[in-house]
Amino acid sequence: MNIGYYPGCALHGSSNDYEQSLRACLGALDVQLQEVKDWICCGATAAHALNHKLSLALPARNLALAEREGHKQLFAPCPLCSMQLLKVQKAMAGNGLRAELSQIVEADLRGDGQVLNLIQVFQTVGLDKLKTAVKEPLKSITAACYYGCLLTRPPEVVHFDDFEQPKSMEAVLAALGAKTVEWSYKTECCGAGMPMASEDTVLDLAHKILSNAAAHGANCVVVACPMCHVNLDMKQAAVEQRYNKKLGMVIYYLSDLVGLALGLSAEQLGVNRHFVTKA
Amino acid sequence: MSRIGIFTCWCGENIARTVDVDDVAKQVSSLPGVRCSVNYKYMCSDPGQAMVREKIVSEKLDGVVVASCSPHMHLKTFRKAAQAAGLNPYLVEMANIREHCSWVHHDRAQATAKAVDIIRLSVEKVRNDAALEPIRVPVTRRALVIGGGVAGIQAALDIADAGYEVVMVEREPSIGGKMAGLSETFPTLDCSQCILTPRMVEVGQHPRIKLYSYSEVEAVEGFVGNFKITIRQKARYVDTAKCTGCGECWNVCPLKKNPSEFDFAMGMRPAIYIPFPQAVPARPVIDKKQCAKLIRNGCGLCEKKCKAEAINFKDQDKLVEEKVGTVVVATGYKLYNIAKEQDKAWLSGYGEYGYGRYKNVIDSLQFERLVSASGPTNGVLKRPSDGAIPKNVVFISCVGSRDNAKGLPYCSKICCMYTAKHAMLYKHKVHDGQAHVFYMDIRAGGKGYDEFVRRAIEQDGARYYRGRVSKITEENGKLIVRGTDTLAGVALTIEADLVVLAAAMRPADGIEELAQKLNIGYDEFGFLLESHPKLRPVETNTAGIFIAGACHAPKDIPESVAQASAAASKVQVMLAADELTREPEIAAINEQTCAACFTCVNTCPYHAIERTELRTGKGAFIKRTARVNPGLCMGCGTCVSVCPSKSADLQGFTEQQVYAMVESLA
Amino acid sequence: MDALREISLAEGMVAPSQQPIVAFQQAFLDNIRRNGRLAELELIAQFKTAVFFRTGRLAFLFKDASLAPQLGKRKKLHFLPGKVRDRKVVERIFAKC
Repeated sequence: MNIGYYPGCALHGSSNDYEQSLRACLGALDVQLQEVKDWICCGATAAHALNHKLSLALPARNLALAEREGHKQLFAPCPLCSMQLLKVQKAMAGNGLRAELSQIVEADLRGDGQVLNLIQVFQTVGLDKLKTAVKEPLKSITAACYYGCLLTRPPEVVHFDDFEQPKSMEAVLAALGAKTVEWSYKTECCGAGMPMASEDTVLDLAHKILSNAAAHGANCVVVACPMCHVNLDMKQAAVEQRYNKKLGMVIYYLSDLVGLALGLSAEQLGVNRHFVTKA
Repeated sequence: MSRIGIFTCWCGENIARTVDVDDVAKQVSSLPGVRCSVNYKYMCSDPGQAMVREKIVSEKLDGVVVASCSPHMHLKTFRKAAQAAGLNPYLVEMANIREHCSWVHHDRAQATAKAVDIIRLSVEKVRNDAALEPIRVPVTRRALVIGGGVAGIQAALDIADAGYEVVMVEREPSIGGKMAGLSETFPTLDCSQCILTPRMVEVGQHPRIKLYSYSEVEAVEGFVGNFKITIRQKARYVDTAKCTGCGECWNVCPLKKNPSEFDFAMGMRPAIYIPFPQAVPARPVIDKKQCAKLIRNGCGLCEKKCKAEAINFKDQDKLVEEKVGTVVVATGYKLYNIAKEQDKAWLSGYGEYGYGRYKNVIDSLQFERLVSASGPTNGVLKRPSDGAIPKNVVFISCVGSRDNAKGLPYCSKICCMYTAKHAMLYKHKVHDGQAHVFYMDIRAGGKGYDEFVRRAIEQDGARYYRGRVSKITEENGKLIVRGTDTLAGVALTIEADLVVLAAAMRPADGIEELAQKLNIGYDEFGFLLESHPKLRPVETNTAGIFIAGACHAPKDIPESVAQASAAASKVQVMLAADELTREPEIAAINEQTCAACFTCVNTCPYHAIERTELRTGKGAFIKRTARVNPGLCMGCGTCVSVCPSKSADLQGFTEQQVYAMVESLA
Repeated sequence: MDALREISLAEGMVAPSQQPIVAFQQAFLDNIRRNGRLAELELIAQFKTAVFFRTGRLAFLFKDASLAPQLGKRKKLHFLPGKVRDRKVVERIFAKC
């Protein structure tokens, strides 16, 4: 299966372990990722905060580039990127904005492609197919599935899963033979792109999320977002220090767990490159 | 030769400001057939009407045109005046030179000219008017009351006490409605069942009330004064005539763990059960979805135990016909479903409150059952998960109501009051407990209501926070409630043992199907439509059908009772005589020219035209024809426009009149 | 909520405690305008310097410095990130918005 691939700045920056994990895991599932040539930053939170038109134009350029390359499906592993792409598609529907954006981004824009997040890629592969491909069921994993803000919200933009009690990630883990816990912070914010600008906020939020996951019996947390990963993994030491408690929670990318269940090694998936590697 | 009188009204300044009334009166006096033309400041006033009567007599008028406001306002007034002066009331026309002229135009010259044209049309119309006679319809002097809650009970008792027979249909096994399940009622904190059950018994024993319980209205035919109702009596599997209500059967039933509908799943009931001890009728019913005998021919213990031999597993639904003259609809309400499942696509639930996920998040009716002395916990407030007595209870108002995003923008009216009541009842039962109420506004507009809410706050120590709750989660058996206090400007988190959600009031299930059977209107929420929101709150636009209680709009018990008595009084007006009179401006079909194509039959929105045959006196067949039922026809004119042979015409607005009016303008 | 934020930015009414966040977002946009994609080290340097000059907090400049070798060890530091070939398009998009 061939799908268009829009990595986004994080995956080519300090979250390149996520890209390593994706490529290894999806490669094993025979999903070929065709990276969109010359993609640009989607604008992230900065454009949304400071310049509304820019926040539509930047993702629009990427949609146009993907369309130009003939991709009917575009996989964006970072939920902020995928949400921005969907936001532009929705904003353009049925009005003159499409023409205006085409002119701004200097490329023809149709806006009819399908944007996928990581969970949706696994759903497209098929959970049944995934289950049969499992070589090493994840019996030792009791995971807290953490969706963060952008996989399920804004619901009228992303139309994905139940935004109060999502279950799509749990379904993937069930296919891998892993156990999951019901916990209270599935969709609470981790602080997203704020670790540098507002570290206190991020540490407070990460502390609540990690503590609640542990309190509900999880031995790891699974994410599908590079920013969530940074705030829960890279910042975990700082959380432990500030709140004076040992957490020791491994933060897996969903593709890490899928890859491990398929028989790939931790090194292949880049799991050894996380900050927290063993409980 | 016509002798028409024209009476032009100034309507104070309403007409005279824009239309030169003097000039108009002068101009129209020269129209053909006009005998006299006068004008006056207020035609509808006593002196104005006296003027009309006087001129009818002195000028021997045979037609009257009143040029003033809309006929909706005063046509009846002037018809009565004409009749008092000896002129057939249907020889009176109104030329609307207010709503159709002075109120919508600015240019005086143009408006005046238009007013003259409008009057010209009315003159042509009245010249061709026929002296119609009102239609008399016989009345079956019995009433049907659909719904046995407090509104239905009140209406039935009022009508029956006035001397008329009442048929009451209630779909639950017992009457009493939601009020029978409440613990205490505001603002008096009366025990709800204590004040209702005497009324229920009165209904059950009233010589003129025929109660069909565990029954539903299957079909409605006919029209005002002459309704034929088909009622489906659902199979109880218990012969109510033989049964003595001794209770042996439900004591011996082995299938005791069925969630009780009356307790809103806060308690259990057996498969053969009586919904509550004071049920009327006090006869059990077998739930055929749970009974082992009915499902797989097992058990049968109740039948063995019953000394009265009243159990009948071969029971079937029965269809019964009742003839009534009027109907009162009092079908009550249900609560909005807070969990995500909804019965309408445009409604959504509140996933963030955890209703349905967390056992200790309940709605207000469930709370009523938990604090009710005759409830599943005998009035001890035990929370559902572990039976512990909650020390911190959070009450959340406006769950579903006043929320455009969820689909119900209206206010449910009673929740502010019953939430205060709940806080008080809670404190009275758990002296060291703390009630927390999250509210948006406090609506306590009734008699003694505001004082009642203050009592909850000042005497019973309820803490009121103005703000909404964003999320409820559960940690270690406690419900973590995250909300805000906007007046203090802080976010606050409360660890609660129990959360009670004040869910929105919606009309009961099946209201739309019932309304369609009765041919009455309902809004997008299912609430039944009244004739006029201010002046006709208990009538519907279908003659003979009245509404009362929460099926009309969210309301509390005093209002439901008042509305029920109002509906009963309207019923009594209608049943007061053996005949009803109806306006004669309805369709009539010339049966000689009718081609019997029956297009009109299929087009009539009121099903008022029937296919029939013309026969000689000896019964020989002449021809088929369509015929209008004068009791049902509403005079809409649809049949007139579709009839290919021009056999259908509207009395009081014939085609000839229409052509005459149009030609007069040419 | 978006409206309130836009108004406060337009009227220059950003609370002092939130200044670092606005500075961060501005540095971010600046960065992608020049590079087409985010150059992380450049952003960190620019942001930290900007905050230092605004607030004079030396500690802020050196905070997280210990993370650098940790990131380097995990091959997460990119001194020369992949650049967008057609960077001028990005400049023009910014100019039009």
